[in-house]
Amino acid sequence: MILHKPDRPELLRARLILPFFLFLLVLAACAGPAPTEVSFMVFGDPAEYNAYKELVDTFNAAHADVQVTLTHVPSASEYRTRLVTEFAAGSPPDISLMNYRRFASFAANDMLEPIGPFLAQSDLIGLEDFYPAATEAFTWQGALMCLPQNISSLVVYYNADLFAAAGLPEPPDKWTWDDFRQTAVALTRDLDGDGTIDQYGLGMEPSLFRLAPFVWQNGGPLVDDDARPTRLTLTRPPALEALQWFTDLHNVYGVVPGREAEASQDSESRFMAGTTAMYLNSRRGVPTYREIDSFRWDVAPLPNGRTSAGILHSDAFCLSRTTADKEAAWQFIEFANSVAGQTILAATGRTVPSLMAVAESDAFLNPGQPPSRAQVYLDNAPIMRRVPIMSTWQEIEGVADEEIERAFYGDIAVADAARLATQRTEEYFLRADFNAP
Amino acid sequence: MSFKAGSRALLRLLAALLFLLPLLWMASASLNAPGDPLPTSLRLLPPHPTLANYGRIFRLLPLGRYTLNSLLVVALAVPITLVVSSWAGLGMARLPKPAQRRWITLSLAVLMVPGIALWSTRFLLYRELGWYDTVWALIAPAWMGTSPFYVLMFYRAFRRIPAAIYDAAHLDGAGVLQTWWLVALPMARMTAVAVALLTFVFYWGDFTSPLLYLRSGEHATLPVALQTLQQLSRSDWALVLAAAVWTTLVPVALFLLLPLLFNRRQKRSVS
Amino acid sequence: MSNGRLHPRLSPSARWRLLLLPYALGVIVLVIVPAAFSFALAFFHYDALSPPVWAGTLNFVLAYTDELFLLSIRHSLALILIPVPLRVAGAFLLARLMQRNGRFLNWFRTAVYLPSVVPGAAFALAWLWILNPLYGPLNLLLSALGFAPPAWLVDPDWARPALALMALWQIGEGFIVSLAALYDMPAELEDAARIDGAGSWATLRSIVLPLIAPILLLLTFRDVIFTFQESFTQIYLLTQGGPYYATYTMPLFIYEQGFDLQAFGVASAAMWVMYAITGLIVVALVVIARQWNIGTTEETFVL
Repeated sequence: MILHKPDRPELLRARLILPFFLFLLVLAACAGPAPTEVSFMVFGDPAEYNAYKELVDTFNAAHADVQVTLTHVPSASEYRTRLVTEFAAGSPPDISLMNYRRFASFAANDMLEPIGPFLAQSDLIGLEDFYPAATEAFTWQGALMCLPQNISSLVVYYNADLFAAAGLPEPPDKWTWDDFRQTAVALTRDLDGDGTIDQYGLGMEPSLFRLAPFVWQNGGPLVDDDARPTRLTLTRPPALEALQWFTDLHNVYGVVPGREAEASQDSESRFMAGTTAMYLNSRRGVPTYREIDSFRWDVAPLPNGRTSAGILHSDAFCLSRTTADKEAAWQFIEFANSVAGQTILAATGRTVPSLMAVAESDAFLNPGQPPSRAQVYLDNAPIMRRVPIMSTWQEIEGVADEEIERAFYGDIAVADAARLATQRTEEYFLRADFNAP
Repeated sequence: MSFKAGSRALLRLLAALLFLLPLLWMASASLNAPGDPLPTSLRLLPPHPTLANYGRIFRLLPLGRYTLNSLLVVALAVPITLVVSSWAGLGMARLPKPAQRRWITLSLAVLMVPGIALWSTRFLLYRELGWYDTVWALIAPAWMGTSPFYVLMFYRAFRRIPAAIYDAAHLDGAGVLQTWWLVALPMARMTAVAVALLTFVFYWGDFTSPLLYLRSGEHATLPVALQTLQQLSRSDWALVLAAAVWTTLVPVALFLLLPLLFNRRQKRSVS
Repeated sequence: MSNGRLHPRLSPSARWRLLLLPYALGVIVLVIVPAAFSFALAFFHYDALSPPVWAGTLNFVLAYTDELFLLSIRHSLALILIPVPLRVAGAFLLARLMQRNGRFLNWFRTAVYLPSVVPGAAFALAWLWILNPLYGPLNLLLSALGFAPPAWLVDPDWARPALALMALWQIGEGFIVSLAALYDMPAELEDAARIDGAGSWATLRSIVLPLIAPILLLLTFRDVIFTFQESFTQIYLLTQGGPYYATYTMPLFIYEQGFDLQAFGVASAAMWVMYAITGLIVVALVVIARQWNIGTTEETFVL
């Protein structure tokens, strides 16, 4: 810096500049390094998003050195396309929430960093603190890939006021397929006598994932081998019977909206509007349903067939292999799955916590908000089964769903749907990578 | 009015109403009060019309940010397109005949390339250039004039200018750029306005570019916001349509107001 | 002679050519290179994660044996065959209707063009509502008139007609172009015909149509390409190819192969086919035009 002969004020300014810079340097050194940014991607509707927002905000407030940014994709099925595109672009999110039915293709393509070693070194949580069913679902070829946040399952949400208005008792903890169907029939009514049904007894998605527990309850397997399946077994009598019962709900008993009605206003919206009495869903819907203020609602378990069976729904925090600072990302994952973090999520209603301690605590069982029968989810834990873990399972579901939907709305016979689903999914079984090596 | 003229006027009115009908239906449904049941009989307005949905869409999504993003995209893309395509059109018009034919053929061939052919490889290209998830990926086509069609439009307009005018400008010492700005462009004003409008509509409504080349919500534009909203609130029709109306407002307003602005400027320049 | 600011070595014509530089560069970088790349990819296996692997013509075989691919071609053609002539005819007839001066003419013309200004995504969602089977205004109107309304986008038989119906409203561009062409037509010809006592229908057939035919051809050209290639946004938002593949077109197949299944090689092979079909249609149109002696010289392309 060349200073020519300055006037008085300039001299003063020049004399101040150097110490000022030194002061800034010292300040910067004391402040420490800039916080590490960790990106976290989730799916779900606005209420679910807010649940994760609360979790992220709590973490960010407590940690100056690691800041998590939350991004959100509304549709769970498009989620995979998004993730894959981002992996292909070389800039995937550091942490992504993934369903156990969908994480396998990422694990198989070596895009995930196994979370097992981080968990083993953690002082806060250990493998034995989690429900085994949840952690087993995210184990890929012997290694725990992602840390599960929940152990949800399929239950029946019901509108208690509609039951009362019809003079029916609320669904008990144990009921049969026949009970279930008769209840739905009794609750399907044409209220104003104009010939069109205004109130449906039941709403559900005609998909393979919804059908599965009923297949198991009827004593049939879904696939020919749980570890290394080669085909769907929908054509075998127990599964076929279950599919028949499933589709009869629309084709014979008319307790669910037809295709037109469903497209005009989907069943979940109808449930929330109070015009559908029962709706099949997992715990995911609770944050949104808690916004209902026009009627009282609660949950009941699935009805039982020949045996009782439930189906696992689980999502986990998965760490990308390309994450720059994995330790920082782990800090958030650890927090989210510690007692503190899981309590926050449980309080929002979004999860059935995978930490046994939190699941059995009041935060989940007695939160002072619906559903009051939260024990129903926990009762499912011993009887729940899961779909196969394989890299092409999402495609298999996609194809099978198309045929099941056609049978559900009466376009084709049940036997044809089963046959087509089996045939069309064969190639995906051939191409798959499996969990068991 | 003669019978023929009268029936013609009636037909015109009917045609106009027919074309406005979807827009009217869209706007009318967006006024449905949240929570009110869906209509079961034909009606012009919902029973309790309200603008509440327009507030809700801003609370549910950062729609203000998306609107600004859309505005940024058109603010960048339209001028760049106008410059590049008018330059190219002028250049083509001043070439010797055989060269002109070659460029026309090239432009038509490029016009025929399916946009889809470019999706995945442009994705890889933007990734390499570092444009992925930035506004540059959204306005990239502007650097080639957005579409050969606009180049051809300018070519047509510039070719109609007699060669004598170009020569006169040249004699006056005007360079290429000066000729473009001071001589050619003013004479192709209508074409420029048309291209500007068409380009605006294109970028404002572009859905595939943000779908494929953006990932965070930061740079998202209104069309993908519409899709997000539709996935979030599948059966909340009033909400989704309110967002659709919002997205439509700017191009429609521009389209309706532009001729008025244009007339006023012309009147002023005449006087 | 030169203005001294640009390089004095450049001849005047070279300086004009410089104006074409951004366009040329843009076309090369944004169109030619990606398109060439895309077409080359057709011979490789590529999933954007690992390096490309040579596959020869396997991708073409895979596409050819994929029944979804053939289905997508059939549906793409179905969405062109009838709707495009309807749209071009509709645009022309409307332009004819709104040609001569009259009261409020500008308003009427604006109304016809307005739907084309609506962004594609918004327009699609508006129609998603309009075509709602139970609560949408179209079906409510049809019921009020005594018809049994179809389920439109939810019914495999009515989904494609629904798309064609929606597309009829966006003929604004064709309308404007037809109007301009009708204006460019010398007025004396029509006046002479009227003096000779020809009715409006006859005038239309023997005088107007032959003169307008090149423009209509160009419009058909553009509409075919547009419908074939650019209908992705609306189908993606409205039906995603459903119900049960009723609206599954080539762009959807390519999108699925590329971005859903990461089979960029197969997607590229499909693009070859799409480009070839587009070329065939264009050639067919040109042949038909030559048959009917419609001018296809450079002059008429430039209008």
